[in-house]
Amino acid sequence: MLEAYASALEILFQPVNLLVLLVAVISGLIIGVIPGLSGLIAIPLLLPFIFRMPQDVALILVIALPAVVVTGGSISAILLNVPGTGANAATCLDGYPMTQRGEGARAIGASVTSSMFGGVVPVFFALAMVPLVMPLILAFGQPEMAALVLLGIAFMGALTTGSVTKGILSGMLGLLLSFVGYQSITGIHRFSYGSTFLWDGFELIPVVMGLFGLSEMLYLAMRGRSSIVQGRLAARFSDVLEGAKDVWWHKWLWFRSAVIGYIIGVIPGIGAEIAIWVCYGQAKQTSKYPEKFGTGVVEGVIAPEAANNGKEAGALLTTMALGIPGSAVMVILLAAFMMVGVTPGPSMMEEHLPLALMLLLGIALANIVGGVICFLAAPLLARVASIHLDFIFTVVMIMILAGIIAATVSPLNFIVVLAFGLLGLLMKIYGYSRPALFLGFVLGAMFESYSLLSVKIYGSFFFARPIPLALFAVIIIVLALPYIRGAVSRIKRRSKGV
Amino acid sequence: MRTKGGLWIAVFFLIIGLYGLIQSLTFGYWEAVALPAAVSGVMVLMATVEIGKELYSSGKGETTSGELKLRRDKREEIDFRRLGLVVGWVAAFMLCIYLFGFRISVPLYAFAYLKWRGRHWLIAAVFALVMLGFIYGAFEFGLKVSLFQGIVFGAR
Repeated sequence: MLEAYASALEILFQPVNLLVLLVAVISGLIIGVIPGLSGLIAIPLLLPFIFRMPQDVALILVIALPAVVVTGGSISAILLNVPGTGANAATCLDGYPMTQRGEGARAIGASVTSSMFGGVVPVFFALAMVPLVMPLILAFGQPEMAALVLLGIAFMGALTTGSVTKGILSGMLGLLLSFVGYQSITGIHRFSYGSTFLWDGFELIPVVMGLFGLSEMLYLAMRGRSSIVQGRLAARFSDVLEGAKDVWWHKWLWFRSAVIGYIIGVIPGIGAEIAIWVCYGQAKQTSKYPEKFGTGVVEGVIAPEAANNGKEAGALLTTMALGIPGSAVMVILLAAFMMVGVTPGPSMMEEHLPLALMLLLGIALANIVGGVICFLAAPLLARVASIHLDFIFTVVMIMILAGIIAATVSPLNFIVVLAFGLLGLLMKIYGYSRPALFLGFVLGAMFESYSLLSVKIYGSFFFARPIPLALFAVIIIVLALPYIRGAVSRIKRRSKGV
Repeated sequence: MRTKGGLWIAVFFLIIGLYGLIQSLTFGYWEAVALPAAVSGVMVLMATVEIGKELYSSGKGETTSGELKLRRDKREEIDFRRLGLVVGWVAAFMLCIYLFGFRISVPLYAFAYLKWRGRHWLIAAVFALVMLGFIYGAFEFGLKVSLFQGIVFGAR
């Protein structure tokens, strides 16, 4: 195991990898600062580039960029009251009032310090957990893996929307789409209608670009805001250090928030959007002056910013160890892993352990580099938020279409990207889960192969084994939970006579 | 009833599920039929439940999280006319690439779109050239991928 850690460090500290990490971090911060853009748009845009890169370089690029997006997003949340990403929404509550009081730079200092260390410390929790989870994941065979895929889709579907039915529908559509094309077991073509274009099924890049990249762009353009942010932006470096000291004074709050963020990250399907509110709530509950929250107290900045960076390590560990994405961004990362020949799941931890450890360490390093850049260039980064939406739309559209043609062969994929873009837009608007659809699409072939092999090896009742039964029990609980919660709240309301 | 859009998208899922179920039964081998039929069956069931919810729910808000949070607010801001225009621009750009390739379409699209959005022609022209340089540099030089030249000027 120690050799694996040493190899991981050796890979990470190669000059090319460090350079790529720096580029990814700067890009991630810029994307984070621009409201409306997030890792969900940025990672798909990177996919056409990575399949020509060496494995380690490609993976550092896709792991370092989303690791710091939320750090950049806090700057616009604090200075402009516009969260750069959804995971920075709670930061606005106290960050912007601090800016209005002339303490914006202090808030940025607190947020950047909290984010930086909040992103680093949980990595060590994850690294410590690797030897503990290894025996468990090595016990997984085909039936267990089939149940795991279903568990991932159930988590992703049920927890990224408010409706279980919509979540399941999204996941099932993804699975159905993954069945399009040639099936190697029987040698027949399904849902391809004699079209050679569909013989190998839908290609990954047009689907992910449409579902996340194009749909987000259409959504932004459709909402009609021509300018994302207007206003004067300023942050003084001298005051930023004051905020860093605030994190030290509130070190236990920061630590609790980072741990909570990490634990929430480990649970598949729950994103930073939930972690930040949980941490904001606990910061308020444990404060000596809870009534002041929302008026510009620095604890209201420290807690959510530690949580949203802290969850990345947890989410990555779940993605790599079990093959179940810990968050929506991790769904796309899962696809990126597969594109460069690494299949997340127990086999990754067995065959690519140094690579897996390197990626965890990469998150820590990205957070440190991102933190330093933010300290030095926060006012400059804040100006990026005022870039006009027209320019962003033009650049992203060109990148999407050029990326598709570079990564695939047929211009017919333009139709695919447009169709998935519109589908993604409608799903976003009407509360369906795009991550669940994409997860079903990415893991569908694997799910079918595991299921059929299980039937052949263990018979029709292949799931009647301890681990699959336990996983199915978790699936039922996850799907039933919203209804149980609803029933409990109804009973409570009735008992109060409301 | 909640919204027409919500109902129609549930109907869309129902149609896809029904079609998948009927089509999958024609595949012959059980290995090819089993999962598509099961998945389509679940889709039909869930879509029916969702249609029922859309038709008969009292219009109360759902407990929301993640993407669904602020759904109502967002829905109010949707401008379908603007969506049609934006999709039109995207489709036109795609057609232009298919016909004339990237080297012509990228600057043309960047210039035309920015002009349409009311930008000064000089800014639009400079931005168009920067985008051409960026795409050319990133793909032709960086990735060694020759950009699609369009059917009018021959294959890649």
